[in-house]
Amino acid sequence: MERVAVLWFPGLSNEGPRGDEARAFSEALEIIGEHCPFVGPVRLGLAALPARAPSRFYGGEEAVLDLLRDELGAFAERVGTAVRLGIADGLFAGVMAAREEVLVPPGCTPQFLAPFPVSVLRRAELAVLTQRLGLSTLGWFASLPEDRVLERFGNDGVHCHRVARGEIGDLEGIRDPRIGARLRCLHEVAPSTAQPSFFGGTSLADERAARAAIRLQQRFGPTMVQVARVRPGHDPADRAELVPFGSRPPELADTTAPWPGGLPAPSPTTVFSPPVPVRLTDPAGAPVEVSARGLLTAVPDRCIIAGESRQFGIVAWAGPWPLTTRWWDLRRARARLQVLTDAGVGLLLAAERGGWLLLGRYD
Amino acid sequence: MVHGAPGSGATSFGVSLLAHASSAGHWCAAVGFEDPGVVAMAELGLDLRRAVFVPQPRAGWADAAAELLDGMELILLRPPGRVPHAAARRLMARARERRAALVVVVTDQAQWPVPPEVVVHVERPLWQGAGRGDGRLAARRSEVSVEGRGGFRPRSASVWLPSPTGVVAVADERR
Repeated sequence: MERVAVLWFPGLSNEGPRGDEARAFSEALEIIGEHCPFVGPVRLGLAALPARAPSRFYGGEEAVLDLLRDELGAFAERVGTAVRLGIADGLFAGVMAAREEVLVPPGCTPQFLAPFPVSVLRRAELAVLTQRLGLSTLGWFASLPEDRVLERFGNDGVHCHRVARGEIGDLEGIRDPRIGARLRCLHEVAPSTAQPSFFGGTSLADERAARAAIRLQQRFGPTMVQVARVRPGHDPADRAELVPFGSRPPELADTTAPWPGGLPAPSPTTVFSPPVPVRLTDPAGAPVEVSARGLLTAVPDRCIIAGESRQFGIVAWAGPWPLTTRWWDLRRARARLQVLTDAGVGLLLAAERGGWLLLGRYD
Repeated sequence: MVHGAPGSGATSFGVSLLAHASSAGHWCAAVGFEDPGVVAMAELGLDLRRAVFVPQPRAGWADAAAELLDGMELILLRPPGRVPHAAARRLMARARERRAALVVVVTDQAQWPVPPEVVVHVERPLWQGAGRGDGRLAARRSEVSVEGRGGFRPRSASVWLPSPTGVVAVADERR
């Protein structure tokens, strides 16, 4: 059976919230790959490589382990993880050998595996059942006749049985099928290649910021982190656009230049998207509207925001400013109105299709 | 921490801190501002080339803030509701460790259970410029008081958020 060298980084086996472990593991693979190009990830924190070729090249299996131990020493110290190496016949035995930090000579795998408890196969049911039968070790389990194993434990039981006997190297479930993709996506969006147009120059701070943003996107999806583009326009919501970080270079127009027909600064610091329906009433409680001539039909007195139980008294207002530029689209004809509530809060409203919408709040 | 009711100017105050950092070449992030008024932020001086927005982090807001503290110099965070003690402590420790600034904008001080280094209260906004149908909302003055831990001398001032010329500035300092 194939000789397999396994490297286990216990400190990188569990992914933390920041994804540092995957990055460090990826770095470890690179270091190993410089000497043993056929190294591959098994699961996070666990790497394996066929041992035959490198041991011929470096002069023995012991020499391969010594070399890797040396090469990874500084890395392991920096990252703060141990490195455990082992060689055995097949991947499963290799993993166990790394756990025990031993080099299992060729052909000795069944003897090596025999004393381990059945639970190392990571089959909870199998472990419990064999325990009940008094077969607590892999050796005892391996000594069962295969037809009895099939009868009692089914096909997967037979698979495990063959692994325990050292007939099969790869235990089903030992490889994480997603690990390749997980590590690839670390590489594909390396800031230096994915974000050139965004940064132009690349200072260290730019790189750090981009990395942080990209990590977030990897964990939560591309829309999690956004950058803003601002363009000339009338309403605050029209003038700003948020796009996923890295998707397009943001426009660097003069963001604060006045725009004909646009509201002068200051703009609302909160822009509701979508706008929130609002009722605007006069002192008698009748709705206030915008007349065909662009004037308020009554004095605005109260403002009731949908979804909020409170009413606001209106102490001052400015406008309405009609928006004439959209005369061709009557449905969207708008006038805007600033109101100041009795709590001192400034609101920006829009008249649309006979009702009012809360566009923004000056927070 | 910047503490103030909606409409008090607390957000503008927080954004002015971001603006200051970004114009000095630092990267900054606004986390949890669901409907950011990007135009207003640009008017307040935020350099949008060095700002990222995490408008809807949902349950991931604490992880997002922690991750961004790793790469950005200043994070403006609006936490959703009341923050668990452990999450607040973890973020503050992360900010210290990374030498980044974490500014939390809250409407209720109890939202953040760990005493921050500095608390800025923004209250009693007073708008100028709008009448009964004429003028426009042109400038706002809010009462800002600052208190901190240790030997921090509490201060208060009336601050333009923003002034008639669009800048955030102290209008009148007291004490």
